[in-house]
Amino acid sequence: MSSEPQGAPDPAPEHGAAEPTLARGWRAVGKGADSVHTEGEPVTDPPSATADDDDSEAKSFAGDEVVHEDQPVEAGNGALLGIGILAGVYLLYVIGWFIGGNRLDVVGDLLLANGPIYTIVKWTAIAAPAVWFAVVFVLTLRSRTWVRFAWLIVGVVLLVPWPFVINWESALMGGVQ
Amino acid sequence: MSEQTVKPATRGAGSWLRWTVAAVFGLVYSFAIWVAIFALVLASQGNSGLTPAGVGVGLMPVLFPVLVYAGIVVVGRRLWVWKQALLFLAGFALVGVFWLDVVMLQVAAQSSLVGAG
Repeated sequence: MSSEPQGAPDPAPEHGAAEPTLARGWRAVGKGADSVHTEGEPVTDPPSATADDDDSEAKSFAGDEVVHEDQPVEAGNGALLGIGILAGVYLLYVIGWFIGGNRLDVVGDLLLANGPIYTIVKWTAIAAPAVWFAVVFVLTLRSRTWVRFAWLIVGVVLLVPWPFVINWESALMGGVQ
Repeated sequence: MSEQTVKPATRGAGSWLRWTVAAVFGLVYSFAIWVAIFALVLASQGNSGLTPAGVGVGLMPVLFPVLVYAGIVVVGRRLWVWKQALLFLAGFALVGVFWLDVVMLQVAAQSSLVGAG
């Protein structure tokens, strides 16, 4: 206390007492990250996140760690970029399902005798990527960023518009597949 | 498919709401199951019938909605009802996607799924 810091970089002098802070939206990782406070966020005591006992829901969505129950997590720049890229992928999926679903029209009508049922299923599939994205977004508002990304990536894997990607029509034409 | 409504996690609105949501989405999911069964029966009545593999593939979209629904009932039990409803919604979207994937598979691999006349 009494001695002045010697040599080495002095952390955030104006805050004194060696309490480094980060600008809003950033998050410290690695050794000693727990002691780094992010501006604009309530100070948390790291390991004891179990303050509110009745929050059985907190751990429920894929066992994620919930940061703050009341505040959506601020996304950093990288997270925003990633979300944007994934949103673009999902948009492409919607288009892919639209095209692929319409291509399957003939078959769908054949399989279901006719009409409206296939159309309903088709539009469900077209809307699926958007629905998945929105649901993941809402349900992970208070989760850590990686949890949100994990579920979005799961969606990217599950919702691939195969009828658009694969050339299944060659089989329909009676050729080799 | 039974719900344990005694769990303390059934918060806020009473369990009747949870049951209602589960019932409504149950109807929607059973629609998907019915569609899949209908398509399977229709295909098996075709002039050449289905091979065992064809029946297996045709059964997948019948079983898939059941699995998704059961999974969401179990997992969503600890969530708020509206969150569980969102899960049901996303699950149904997945069911639709899966169904179209299977339809495509049935076309692409029809030579091994449909009986040889």
